[in-house]
Amino acid sequence: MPAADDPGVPPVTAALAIRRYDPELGDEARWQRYEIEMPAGSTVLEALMYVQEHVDGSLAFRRSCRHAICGSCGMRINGCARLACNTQLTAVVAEAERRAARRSAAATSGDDDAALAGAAVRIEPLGNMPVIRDLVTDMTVFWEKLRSVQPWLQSLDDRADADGERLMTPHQYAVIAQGLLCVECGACYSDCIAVEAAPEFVGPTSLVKAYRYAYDVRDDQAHRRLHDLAGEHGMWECTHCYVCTQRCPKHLRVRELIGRLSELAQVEGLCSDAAVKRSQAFVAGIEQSGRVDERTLAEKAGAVRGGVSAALPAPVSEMLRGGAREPISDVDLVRRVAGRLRGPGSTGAEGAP
Amino acid sequence: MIAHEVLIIGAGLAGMRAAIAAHDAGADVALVSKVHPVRSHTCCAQGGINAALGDDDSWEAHLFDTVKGSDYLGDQDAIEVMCKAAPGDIRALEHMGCPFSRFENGRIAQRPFGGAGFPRTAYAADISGFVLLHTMYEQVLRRGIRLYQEWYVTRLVLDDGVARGVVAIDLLTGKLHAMAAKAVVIATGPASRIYQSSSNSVDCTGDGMGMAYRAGLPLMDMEFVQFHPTGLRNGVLITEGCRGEGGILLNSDGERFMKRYAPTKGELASRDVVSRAEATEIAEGRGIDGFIMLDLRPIGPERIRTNLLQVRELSMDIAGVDPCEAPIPIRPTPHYFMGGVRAGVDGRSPVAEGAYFAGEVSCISVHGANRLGGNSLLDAVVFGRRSGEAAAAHAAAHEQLPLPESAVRDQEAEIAELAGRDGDGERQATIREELQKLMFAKVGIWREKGALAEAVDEVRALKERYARVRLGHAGAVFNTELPQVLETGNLLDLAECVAMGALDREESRGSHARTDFPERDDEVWMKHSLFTRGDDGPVCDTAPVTITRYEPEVRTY
Ligand SMILES: Cc1cc2nc3c(=O)[nH]c(=O)nc-3n(C[C@H](O)[C@H](O)[C@H](O)COP(=O)(O)OP(=O)(O)OC[C@H]3O[C@@H](n4cnc5c(N)ncnc54)[C@H](O)[C@@H]3O)c2cc1C
Ligand code: SF4
Ligand code: SF4
Ligand code: FES
Repeated sequence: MPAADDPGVPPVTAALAIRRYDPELGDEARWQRYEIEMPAGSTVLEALMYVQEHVDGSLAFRRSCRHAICGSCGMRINGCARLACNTQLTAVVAEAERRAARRSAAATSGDDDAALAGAAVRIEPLGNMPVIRDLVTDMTVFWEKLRSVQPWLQSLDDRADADGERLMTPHQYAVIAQGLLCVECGACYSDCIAVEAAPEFVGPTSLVKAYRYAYDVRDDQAHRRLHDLAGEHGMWECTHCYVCTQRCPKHLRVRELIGRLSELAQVEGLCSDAAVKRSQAFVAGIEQSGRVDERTLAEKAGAVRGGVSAALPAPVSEMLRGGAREPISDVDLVRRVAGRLRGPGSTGAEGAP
Repeated sequence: MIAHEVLIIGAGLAGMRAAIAAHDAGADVALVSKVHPVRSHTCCAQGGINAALGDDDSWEAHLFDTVKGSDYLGDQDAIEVMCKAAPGDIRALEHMGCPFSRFENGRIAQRPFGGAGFPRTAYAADISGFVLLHTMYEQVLRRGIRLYQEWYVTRLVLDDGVARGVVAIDLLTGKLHAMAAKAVVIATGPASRIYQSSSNSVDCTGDGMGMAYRAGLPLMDMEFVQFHPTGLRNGVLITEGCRGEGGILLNSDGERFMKRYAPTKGELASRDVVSRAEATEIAEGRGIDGFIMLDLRPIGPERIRTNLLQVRELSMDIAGVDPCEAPIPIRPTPHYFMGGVRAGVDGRSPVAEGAYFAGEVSCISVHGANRLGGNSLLDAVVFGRRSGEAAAAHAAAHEQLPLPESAVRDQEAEIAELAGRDGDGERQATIREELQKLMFAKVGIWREKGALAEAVDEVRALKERYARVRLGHAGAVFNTELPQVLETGNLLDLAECVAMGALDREESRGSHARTDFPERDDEVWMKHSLFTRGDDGPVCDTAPVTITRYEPEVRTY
């Protein structure tokens, strides 16, 4: 255990099950277990740094700032993408314990892999991107998508006052303030169901960036930006699952920002075929099962060629998707409500998110 | 072999600003960085960036405040260049899209900062460095500037006193590359990781200073390291705003000790005063396990939740303490390196042709013995731009000279030797952790001859142990252990300079406080210290300070 700064408080003991992969060894990915003891208050990142520096020098992960601002340390912890540096070890140990207790109450066999036994905290690389080694992922496509939204100020008319400043009121700043907070960690992208179903989908991070520029009063290219994003693989492929909002370690309301982008696109008359299809699928899905099913939604909206069911792994972890879906008991009622809302002659377009 | 006209090492604020300037001047530019650009340490800066934008403010006033803040050790010609350029450079950033917070009238807002006679600090909420860094990255993307990201540069190659390029490891493949250039701009940031619990990113290991030092270039003013009064146990900063809002500092007796040190200003006295007071309390046994308590409860939970949201999050996420319920354990944290590689106002090295330095790696000497908050982002922007321009001009006027083939071979041999050492040596972490503790304890806020002399010896002993260090992983693909070992080598070299500089300088000035020499001594020490690599450790020398307008006066606030 590293020296405690705070000897008064009992240390945290944890079993970390880390997803290991090294292309040079030519093996498949595997789980490796590390039993560690860390001073109270330690973060998951500190635990990983301790393991790398003192236990196993071969463990690879990215890190830099240690306080949730550089975006380096995105990884899946207990099935959810997060930043290791702002996640307390005790919190994820408690999660793992609850999970183990649930499993033993349900008398499920659990995993055959010994590394995962008991209340092990599971640490895996981010999803929706290839793994380079251990927890280090290849983010090339992620960065390319970010670049594809042309994340720089574009203004044909460089309006400036006498001193050369371009004006922007505090209110206009506040409009984009939330979009500015994105640290480009990829947590939302990792767990985005639409990216999983349709790898070309531009993804939530790029849409947040697009929002930040489309709503910047100094930028006069909003229409073109929205036009580009209203096409294939753009904003309409989002399934409204809200996983991005749930995941964001910076507490951005990611899905809401995407919604605001869509609103602006609608105002600009940029509702694509895909958007209409998606909305229809949304309503049809509700009528059929009584709830929104993001997976069939992506498929019906034409997000994936070849069928989404093939593209998706079996129900990912319970944790990841917020539990298996219970069927709705009174589907008929939902259908009646939907019929009412639709009214005669409606196209079935969904309202503003 | 990879070749570009201008190579920029480091993709933080200074490096990317340099790349943009060199590109816009028509040069073929490439950026090399050990982390993806937006992961660079600049993103940590919260407070803001200084410029005399206001109608009642002037660059002359900014100059005066900076000279005084530097405790008269800053070079006044360089400070003048920086302060004059500041308004234009800030507006240029604004035009590139940087989102600054605004006044009601729509103009760039400015907040007051310590040591400034005017609210002169432009900012973006509490993410100023972060938005600057992202704006720069986006401008780099826009220009299609070539990026070698996650490439670790191991050495600066000089031949006949002329920079020829660098050697770098592509971390993805583990392969070594020679990278030739007509001009090299080094912008690799700070070295505060020589200390434990520094506020700096884990990557701030002074690689550029180490490279330059090994190549024979002089480092300057290395003994001046600024401490910030409120760092969490791992160095992550809790903003000064907490004390502004009414947070108080308590020792183990529950006493508001700042009343004793600064009866009028109390907790709101200047950074160095508060840091020194905390260090004294801890040293005299009135700390709690080595910490002081920052109690925010007088502010009330309501206000904490609205005005100090980030602080509350950091404190809960990192220290596991909710400041609405309990005080936060804090202590002074090593924060900023005033010293660095000696360079002129165009970032040019006075000894190596074609080598330029900008940002925290450099010592152009605008901060002297103590930097003012908000001046280091400005330093990075102004001298980043200027060094990029100068490097492009140099490249346009010169032919590419050959990069000696031995450069890569030598590096390969060094790494092979390291990888081939037998398996029972120490790993770098034990050595580095000892170094960090020792520097914190003996070359920290309060300094004194005996402890400093011990520190020099101990650093040397650690260097000997480092000569036998063992590599904890030998794979090629994304080996994070190898750069860590090389980084620790840099830290040891730099720590030795810091300790020796602190031992030599028998006075107290700015951040350098000697208990045995409590006064500033302008007779003897109104000069820069220089460190050049010798056979056994640094050879120390001095250089005059440039004074153009303001003769030294007693520094009181
Ligand atoms: C918590 C905190 C808050 C701060 N707040 C403020 C503030 O409010 N105002 C202010 O003015 N200043 C502030 N500062 C100081 C300021 O942030 C820094 O001085 C400044 O950002 C340094 O920028 P830089 O471009 O020189 O270096 P960095 O941003 O550190 O960039 C260094 C670059 O070099 C690269 N690099 C390093 N070594 C290698 C290598 N071996 N090979 C390849 N690439 C390498 C890195 O990858 C990185 O891209 C603050 C500092 C801290 C720690
Ligand atoms: S709401 Fe949309 S963008 Fe967000 S995770 Fe779900 S599908 Fe992806
Ligand atoms: S929106 Fe949030 S989760 Fe997504 S990349 Fe940005 S900070 Fe990370
Ligand atoms: S280390 Fe920077 S976000 Fe975690």
